[in-house]
Amino acid sequence: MLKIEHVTKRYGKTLANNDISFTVGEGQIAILLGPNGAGKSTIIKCIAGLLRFQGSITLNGFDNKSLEAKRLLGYIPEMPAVYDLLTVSEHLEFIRRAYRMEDDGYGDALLERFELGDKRQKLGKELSKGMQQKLSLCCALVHKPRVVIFDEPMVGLDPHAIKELKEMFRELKADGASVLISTHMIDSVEDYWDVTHIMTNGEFAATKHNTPDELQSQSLEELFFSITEGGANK
Amino acid sequence: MNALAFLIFTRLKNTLKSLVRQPVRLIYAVILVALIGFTIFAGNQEESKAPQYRDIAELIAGAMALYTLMFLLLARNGFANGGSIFAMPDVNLLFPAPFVQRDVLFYGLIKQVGSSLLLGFFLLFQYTWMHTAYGVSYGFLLILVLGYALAVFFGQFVAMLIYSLTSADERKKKRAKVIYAAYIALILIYAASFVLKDTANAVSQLVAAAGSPLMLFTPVGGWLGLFAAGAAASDVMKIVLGLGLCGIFAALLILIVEKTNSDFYEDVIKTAEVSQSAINASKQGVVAESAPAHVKLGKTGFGRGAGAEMFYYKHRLENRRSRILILDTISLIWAACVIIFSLFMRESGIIPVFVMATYLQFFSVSLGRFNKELLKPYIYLLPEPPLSKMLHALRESLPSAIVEAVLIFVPVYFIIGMNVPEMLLCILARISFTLLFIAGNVILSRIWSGSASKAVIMLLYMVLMLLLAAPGVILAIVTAAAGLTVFSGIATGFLVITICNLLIALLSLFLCRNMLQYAELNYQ
Repeated sequence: MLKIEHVTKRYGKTLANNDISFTVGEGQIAILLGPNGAGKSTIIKCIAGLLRFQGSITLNGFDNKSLEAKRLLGYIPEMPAVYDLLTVSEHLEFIRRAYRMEDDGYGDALLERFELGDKRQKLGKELSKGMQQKLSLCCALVHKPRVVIFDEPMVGLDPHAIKELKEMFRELKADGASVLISTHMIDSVEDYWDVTHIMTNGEFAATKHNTPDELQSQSLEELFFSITEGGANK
Repeated sequence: MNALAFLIFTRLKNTLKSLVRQPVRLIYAVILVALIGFTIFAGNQEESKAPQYRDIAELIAGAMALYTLMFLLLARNGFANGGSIFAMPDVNLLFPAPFVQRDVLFYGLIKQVGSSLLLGFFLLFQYTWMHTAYGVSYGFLLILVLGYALAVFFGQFVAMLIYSLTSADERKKKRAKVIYAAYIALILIYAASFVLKDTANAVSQLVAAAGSPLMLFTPVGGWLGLFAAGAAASDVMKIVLGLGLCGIFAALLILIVEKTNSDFYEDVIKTAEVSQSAINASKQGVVAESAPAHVKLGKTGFGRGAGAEMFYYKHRLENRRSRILILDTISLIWAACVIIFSLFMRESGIIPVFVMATYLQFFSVSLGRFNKELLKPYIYLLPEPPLSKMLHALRESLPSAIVEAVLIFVPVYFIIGMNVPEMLLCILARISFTLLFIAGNVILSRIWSGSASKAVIMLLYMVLMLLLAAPGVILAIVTAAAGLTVFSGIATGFLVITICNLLIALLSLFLCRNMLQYAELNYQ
């Protein structure tokens, strides 16, 4: 379970996140939806331990800066994080060894799934941006994290990879992982989400659950535009 | 005012305005000016103590070597990408606009002269030793800066021309490479022929070679040397001749561009795109990997290691693929600069050489892989103790620091004529400065990473490094004043600096041990 309590993050005088609290339960997919500059990436980076913040973030009860929490976390950054001079295979070996894991073949399965099987000997710098993004995904998932956070994961991916990724979201959910996805594309979240938090100006403007009752009154898209282009409808 | 002139003046005006709008930049500029003022003051203070100046021809020979080196290094880019006269906004906005291509070329060249002058800025800090050793005036130093700027300008322009003429034809490219290599070989053979006449006085012979008519008429370094020699001797004929030859060469290059390939736009796009990618990557916190265009994969896989030590093995693998055995090209160039400097300063002893070496080290230490690692998420995400991750990520720097120190100070030992304990302690002091500067980088990342602008970071970096280095230097001066000596006064100074630097570096790293735990990886 991922638990965020009263997280506030400032960049100098700019308030990027203001007193954010939410949880993502086991087997739950939560979406952070919002326009550019809403503060989605900031909260994602705070969860990943890449930013200092006020408040508390825990993963299965462990503080997000602890080694126990880091073992549980998978993070897919917005910009692909690959090393120019490592081959595709070496990226996965690096992560596996750094996390002190045996090679159980899962890395190879991920490469095949994201159509990188024939690129094993390609260097990071020789990959297109889309392929780098796929490799970044494989690196984040190879150690089988229990809490996975995705920052704009669809950007730059081809249709096949998007299909596989959506399938991966469902599998992670079925496997009991806590999944948090940040995006500004409403279309990309489809129907697999459990809860969506709409962010504007560093705060949650609304929270919607994927239940027939809530969706009947107003669709996610209608709610989003009523908030971003009209008055808030919390 | 036409559009291109408007563009040049508006950019210049906005650059000056940004100094006022961003006080940090203004402070940075004021500090730089103050530092230049300090070098002038320090140089003039030394004047009364050292009235016997060395032969200015030595300095001019050194300047010619620097000009030639810069010209050749930049011109060589023409075999890969072409010159970087134009940026991506020029490509996107100017190239499709209804301008005559020659006007756009002139716009690019004028812009390039400005950038080249900025690149020569570091020479302004060399006033103290130049004035003390050669009696150089500030006016003459500005002439040397102008010469440097022109060498950079011609290097860029020739690179553009080489690319323009040879990029589409491998045979032409091979011929151009042969000419390029022959040009270098002729200069080296000619210089060697002088040295072989009297190997005991190699420096004097090299200076004589540089001052010979044949060398002074060699493009482009020779012409700029002629210009500098004229300025030093107030010889108008030489000044006019040197600048005149440069002017004719520039006109010839423009003529060749116009006659052979008037449509030069395509030839500069590749470099503009590469530069833009580097700028974008830098903005997103990605340090471009200085890898060769064609990386030789070699043995793949790690095959060993676990946990935090994977960073060390990864760095070794990355270095192998970058063709960096232990030292990178920049470090080797810096090492060569220090050794050449020691040739000219051999009568002044080790101190000026060590100061110059440390000054250059100040800028080169931050290029290690540790800093690149801090910009990727993995070092923060790995479930390993932060101190262990930091030390393993820094581990590759130690062998490089040792080899670099030996590579510099063993030749300097022979040139200057130190004794062996002095040389060994000098090497240790050099290594201690590497560790000190690395620790300084870590402190900077720990406290201010991502929360300040580039100008602020650079300013803080300078101040922090000076603060960290100050205790060792002050203690060495105090020890010398107190008359405490081990082996010799110089050896004692190096010993004190080494111990002090090591203690400060280790303490700094220990205090920053949790930096990876409380990171601020922010590119905004």
